[in-house]
Amino acid sequence: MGALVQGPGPHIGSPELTRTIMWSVIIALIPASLAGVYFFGLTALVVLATTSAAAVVTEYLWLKYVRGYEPRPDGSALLTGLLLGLTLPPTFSPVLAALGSVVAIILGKQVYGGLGNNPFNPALVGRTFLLISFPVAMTTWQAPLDAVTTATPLSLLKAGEQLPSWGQLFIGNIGGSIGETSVLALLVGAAFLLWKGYIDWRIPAGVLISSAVLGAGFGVPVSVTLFSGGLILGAFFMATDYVTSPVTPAGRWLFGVGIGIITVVIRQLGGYPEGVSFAILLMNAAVPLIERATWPKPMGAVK
Amino acid sequence: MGAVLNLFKRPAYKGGVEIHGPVRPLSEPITTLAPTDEVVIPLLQHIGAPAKPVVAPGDEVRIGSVIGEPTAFVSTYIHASVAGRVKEITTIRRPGGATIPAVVIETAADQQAEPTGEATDWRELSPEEIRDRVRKAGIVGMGGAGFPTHIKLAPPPDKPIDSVLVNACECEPYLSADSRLVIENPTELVAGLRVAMRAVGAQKGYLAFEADRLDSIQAVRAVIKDASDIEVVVLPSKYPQGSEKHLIKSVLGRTVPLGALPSAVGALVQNVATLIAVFRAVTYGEPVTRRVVTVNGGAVSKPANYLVPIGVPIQALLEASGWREDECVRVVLGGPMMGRTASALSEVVTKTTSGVLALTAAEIGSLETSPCIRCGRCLTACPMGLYPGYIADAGVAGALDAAEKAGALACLECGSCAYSCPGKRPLVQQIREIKFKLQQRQRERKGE
Repeated sequence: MGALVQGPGPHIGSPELTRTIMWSVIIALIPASLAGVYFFGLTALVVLATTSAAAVVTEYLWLKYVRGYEPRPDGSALLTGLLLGLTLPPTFSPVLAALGSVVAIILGKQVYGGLGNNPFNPALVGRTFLLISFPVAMTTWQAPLDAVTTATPLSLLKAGEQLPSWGQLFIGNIGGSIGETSVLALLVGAAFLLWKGYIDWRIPAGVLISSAVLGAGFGVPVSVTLFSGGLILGAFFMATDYVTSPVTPAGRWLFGVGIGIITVVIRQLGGYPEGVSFAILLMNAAVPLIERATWPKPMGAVK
Repeated sequence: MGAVLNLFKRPAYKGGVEIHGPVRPLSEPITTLAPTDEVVIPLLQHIGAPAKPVVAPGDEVRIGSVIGEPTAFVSTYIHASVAGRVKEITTIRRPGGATIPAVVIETAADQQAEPTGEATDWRELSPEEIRDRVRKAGIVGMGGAGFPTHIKLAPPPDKPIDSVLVNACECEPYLSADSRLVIENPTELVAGLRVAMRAVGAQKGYLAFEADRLDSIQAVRAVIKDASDIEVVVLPSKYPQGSEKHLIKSVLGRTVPLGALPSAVGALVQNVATLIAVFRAVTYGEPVTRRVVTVNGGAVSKPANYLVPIGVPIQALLEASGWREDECVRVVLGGPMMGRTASALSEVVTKTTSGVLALTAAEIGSLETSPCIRCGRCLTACPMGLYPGYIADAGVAGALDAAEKAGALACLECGSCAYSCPGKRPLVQQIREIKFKLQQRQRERKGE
């Protein structure tokens, strides 16, 4: 019937769509989310549900009433909300968490023109807003499997106190944000994304190698550098955000290495115990420069 | 299979995409398709000027009778593909809107061919004689480009050719006309390669295959045996392995500079069907009146390779293959990556029609576009080392200088970027438009 419909080639395409990729990243975050709920209890689940729902609703309302069209759900707002939730303390106020999602979606993404146009990782814009506005609530940590407050490994490190063991860090049986503590759960999800080719290994490789080396230079054990403070979450799930990272393969190396270096510098020399979020946001700002420096050269270009 | 074999083959160029297309009709022999009651033979089936008709309505023609003669340097002969009576000289519309002359022939019951003389041994012919026979036979690049072959076989004297490459990669999915021709005519193909080598004075010939065409590779190896003038090269199954520049890069390790022809690096690339036609033209004086066409796609029940007279409408091919019209959303002429959609079922098979594909909605996949998420897939897929998404954006924004600086004119329009794009952006179309504007601007500047 419609056999003579005209259209430009190519006439076949890869089955991977934007929403396929977004949903795959969400699926890859399920192990870390479950680990967070296991270690920190129902309050963590409330935080994750709140940030996710608030992000989706905010984006829907913005697109429908500000931009004026019927939104097609692509999973990106849900991903932003979930990522934000994973960076929050388990006992964080749901009201403030929802506010973080609103800021992430509107100030982090939609004011720039929506999907694909934002220079900074929206989840980290939301998190940074909360961290600066509500510093106490954002740094009140709950001990895993317990209701008492505790400190994160990096604040223990800064205070010169006894650190948790390598194994505790790896499993996630430590204080920290909902999704950052269980390295094991994060790596399960990351392995899935690497296998699918949905994230470029160069970025996490750059982050891990540079931070481990520089951290060791400051005398921090490699396990503490890598397995604490959201480095794994940031390296595999936030720095790899397509929109806010370089498109060139060489640029992705530079981007990752820059994040690793800035993270360790903030941790060791800055006022905050943790620096992954700021490091990623700072390198987000450098993406246009990095791309210009690593622009691809056409095959057979005459010099 | 291809993926496993690829592990052993290092790709010589960056970019490209691995496409897992449907099964090609590769194991079945080529079927000869009878001519339809009427054939429509366009007098422009090549790059260059149309041929001028040399027959009039009422004339009797046989298979191989000359019906069109070249009108310019870049032009060629056109022959009758059936025996019968010329019904009319008409004009047909080409995609893009231009009209070209065409000869309509009513097919006779008795299919007689023009008599051919004694078989000639090509080894006794000079390069000039070879080119003349190729020209008289109306041979053009049958891979799709349609550039007159006699001109390609006459390299400029300041750019000697040392290597002739046979592009037997057939890297577009769905197609297997060339691969099947290799299996059925390896002797003629190898002889055709030697004819081309003689015509351009090259010492070395290469037959380049994608790794999964095992039967084709075996067939030519059996013909070449231990001859030292010809080498079989097995390359990774990666689109667009059959692109002229990428074939030369993979086989010879030479990079064709941007804007230059393969002769700049001493290479000549020929397609399988073209070289078989060259051999037959030189040996038997046989012109191009038929070609092998792959009919494939989810909306045909019997994918096949047909030997078809030029000028037969594609409808006849589709019907021979059990076309399911209701499931078909697009009919494509050529391969699924670089082919174009047919505008009517009356469009005919020409010298450059490698495939007729009847595609279903499921095969075409999502056409729903979404914004660029800067995933970089187009950049890693581009075999020319470009950033297609950026060029397309520059084009849409009308930023001609930015697009030109980013290498827009180097784009092959191979479609690897658009194939990979998760936002299903029409990248090839957008880049094609900016290329057109840039070429127009170059012409205007020259004119000033």
